[in-house]
Amino acid sequence: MNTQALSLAFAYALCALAATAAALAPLPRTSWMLLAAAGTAGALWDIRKFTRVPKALLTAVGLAGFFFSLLPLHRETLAEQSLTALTLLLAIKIFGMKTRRDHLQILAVALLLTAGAASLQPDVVFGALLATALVLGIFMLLWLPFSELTARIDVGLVRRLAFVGMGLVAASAPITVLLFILLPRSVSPFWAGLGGRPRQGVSGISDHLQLGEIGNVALSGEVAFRAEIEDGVPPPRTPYWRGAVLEVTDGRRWEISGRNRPATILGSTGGKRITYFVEPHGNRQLFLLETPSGATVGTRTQTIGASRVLQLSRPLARRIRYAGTSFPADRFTERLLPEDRSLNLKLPATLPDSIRSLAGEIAGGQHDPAVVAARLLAHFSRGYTYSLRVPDSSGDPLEAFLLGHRTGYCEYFAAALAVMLRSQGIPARLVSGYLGGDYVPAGAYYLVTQASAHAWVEAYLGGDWVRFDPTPASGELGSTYAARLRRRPLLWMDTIRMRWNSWVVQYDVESQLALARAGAAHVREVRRDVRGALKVVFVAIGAAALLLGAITLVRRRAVDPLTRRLSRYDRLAARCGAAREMHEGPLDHAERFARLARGAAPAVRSFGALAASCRYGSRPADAAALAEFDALLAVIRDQTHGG
Amino acid sequence: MSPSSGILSAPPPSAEASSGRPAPASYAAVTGGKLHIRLTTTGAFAIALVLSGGIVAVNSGNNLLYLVVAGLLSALALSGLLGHHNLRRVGLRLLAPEEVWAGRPVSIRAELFNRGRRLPAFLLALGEKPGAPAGTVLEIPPGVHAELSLTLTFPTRGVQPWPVHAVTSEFPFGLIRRGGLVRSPGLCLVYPSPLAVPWEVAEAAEREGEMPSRRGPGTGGDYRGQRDYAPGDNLSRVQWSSWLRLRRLQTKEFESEGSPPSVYRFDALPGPGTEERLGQLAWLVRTGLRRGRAVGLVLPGLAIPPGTGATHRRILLAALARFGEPG
Repeated sequence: MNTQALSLAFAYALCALAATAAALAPLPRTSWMLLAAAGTAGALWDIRKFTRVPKALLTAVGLAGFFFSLLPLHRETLAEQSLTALTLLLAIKIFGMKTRRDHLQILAVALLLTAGAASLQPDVVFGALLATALVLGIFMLLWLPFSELTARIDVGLVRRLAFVGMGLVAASAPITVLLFILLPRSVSPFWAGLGGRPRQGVSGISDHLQLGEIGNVALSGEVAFRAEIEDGVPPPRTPYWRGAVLEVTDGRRWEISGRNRPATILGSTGGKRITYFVEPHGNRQLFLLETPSGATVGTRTQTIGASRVLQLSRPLARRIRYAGTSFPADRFTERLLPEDRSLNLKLPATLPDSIRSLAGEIAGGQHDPAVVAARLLAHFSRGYTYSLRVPDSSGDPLEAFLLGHRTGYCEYFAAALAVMLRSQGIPARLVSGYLGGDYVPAGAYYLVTQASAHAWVEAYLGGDWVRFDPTPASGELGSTYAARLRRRPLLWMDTIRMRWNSWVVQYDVESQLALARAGAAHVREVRRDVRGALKVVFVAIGAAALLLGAITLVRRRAVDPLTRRLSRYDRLAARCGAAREMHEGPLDHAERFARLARGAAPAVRSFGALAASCRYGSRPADAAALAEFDALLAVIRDQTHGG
Repeated sequence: MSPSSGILSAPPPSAEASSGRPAPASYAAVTGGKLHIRLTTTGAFAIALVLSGGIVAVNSGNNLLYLVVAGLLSALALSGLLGHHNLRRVGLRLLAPEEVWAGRPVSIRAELFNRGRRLPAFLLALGEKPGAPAGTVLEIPPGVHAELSLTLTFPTRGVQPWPVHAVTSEFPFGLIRRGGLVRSPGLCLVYPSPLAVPWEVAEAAEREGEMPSRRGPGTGGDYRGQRDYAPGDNLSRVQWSSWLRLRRLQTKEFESEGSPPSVYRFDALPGPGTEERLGQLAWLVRTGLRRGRAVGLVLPGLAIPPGTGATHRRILLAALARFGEPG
């Protein structure tokens, strides 16, 4: 086999992997195209053995391009710039000469490029690419020392090396997992978020809401977050995931108030423990199920505010994981301070009188806030149509919705109800978040996509904030993505993605501490129940012994008794430096072995003669012959071991 | 003292060795002596890469980088274990040619033996020092030995231990060169470096006829060749080794008796020193025997009667090589 050809095959395979990673990552399209072009040209050059471009020229071009890609440096695009520069270096290397050193450089740069691309978009596909690159790297490293020693190599040796490589990969897999778990993590890394820039338009949930926004977002099939329920039992009803509470409005736009006082009444602790895995969305809002009672982000326990929402101090630039406890309920008790009351009763200055009149008309002179709220809510179930296509209107959009076309989506319904409630003296506000999602039983988690983006209303009634959702058919929201997934049965793929995210991408200090705590608890458990633990150990040892015995028995039975004894004899000979050659018969070999075996020489010669007569002569390999073989083997073993 | 070749077995020659049969196969274990472990340039680069990756991973909290670093670290750790295992069962022995002369380069056969039972040994390099291999073996299957050729120069005559050699391997990844500095078992008999002597001096050093020649009726001179055995041939001339090897009886033939025997005297040579005289005697022995003469030696305390043939030549040269040895 041509050694150079195999080395080149490794180099081009790595280049192809790196080009795939560059194509899948959010990098300029020129990156992967450059790699593909250089790889093709390099292969052509290698196959046709064209004159090489001078190395100095390639190095000069490479360096110039490298600095051109890097300069000027921008903090926001540092990762992309570095990776683009690496693609250029790899392109130069794959096109140029390929000595052993060049091959090693190709390996290193391809690995860095794949890892870097994976960092920009830590998807499970990149995990597979990275694993493939590592495996290829191991095989290439194993091969290169051989390739530089000889131009042609025996196929059998290549096969044996492949076995060694496979063994190395198999053995390094568990060690890699162990090291991954144990390597120290930083609580707050310096360069956190490096290369993890948010993707545009991933989330529609922010600290404000403009009429028309959620409608656009709901058309997106992007994953917003996943929520893993600890006990594996989903809430009995379609869950509402709170994002932001919007209290300030001018009629068209709703915003958060900026008041962030702690909750005065949190109710009982406990509830459903849920772990959230949020995609980077560039906003500060996090999501919690219905009525949250607590949350932990990283190692910090977060204070749940009076609005029962969770907000980060800075926009979310990378995938994070956090935990929260919630009660699936449509109301929660909270004290309403006078300033909160006035804020949640404030109407937009430009609110048309027609809306006030309509609200009063629907209330019908009732003074009980609960009845008024119920009447207003019921109003939206009569003659209103849910649609993401809202007819254009020149005037006030709410007025057009309520008194004109009566067609809209969640924002219109929620904003209209909130304004009408306020106009009747009932404190009300908008809550933006997500409704429903797809429950994935295999992973016991909710997959919530942007198609589930939603807005609803909370009204303060009798000391409780009560949820009102005026949007008709809101239970059907968010089904688009799920339906698409079910059509192409890919929910299992999302389960893999979910596990990849939770076990690999978002493994952090907190996870390490949790593992350590679980380990310690396990040790304590074992200490408490030593007998039980010993029983498990004994059973395991017994099972292993049985398995080993069965394997040995099967292997021994597969070989006939004479061959088994001859093999044992051959092993003894090999240990003494007289390994039997293929062409050697028992007598010749015994003679050679005897010269080396000193004290065992007579026994060796006898064994050779006996083997020749049983194998090739007329003597049967009966019990007597086998006993004779055993006796001779014992003598040879004793003598050669002693010597 | 009758070495059958340039090798003496060690420890002290066994009965087999002294009876002319091959010395027992013994190999010096590569990992038995001083170990040599060095990072190659590639290895230094790989470690720098892993360390940089580790630093970036810790400071960025990027788990994909952690995964790469963990993978590379585990591969490095396993490569260390595999590299050690690769050498663990390898042994070395050196086999000298018929004659080794002091001060002259000689080609030595080196055998690397894999005593393992299952796994081959890969990428074994042999040289006088690590990093400067005289030869490399790609693979040695279990229970098999591979041969390499080495060129050595012994500066002095006498029975000498083999010089230390480095058996190293960069298997599996070429990142670490590990191995051992090994001294092959056995001793090497080095003949004095032959120094040419003018014939008039040689003649002066001869004492022709003073000692009885070993020549007997029908023994003839130098070995000429062999032919098939014919009934009536003297059994002492039967080539028994041919019988063992080929199952064929052959008879050795010798040259007819030639020039009169020569006995060279240590004291009669110009020297000036002992080593020069031994060298001159070695040259005289070699030249005399080559010209078909029966040659003998008179050394202080030792007299070897004239004789011919390869065995006699080895006896003479060994006496010169070991001259002055205690005991």
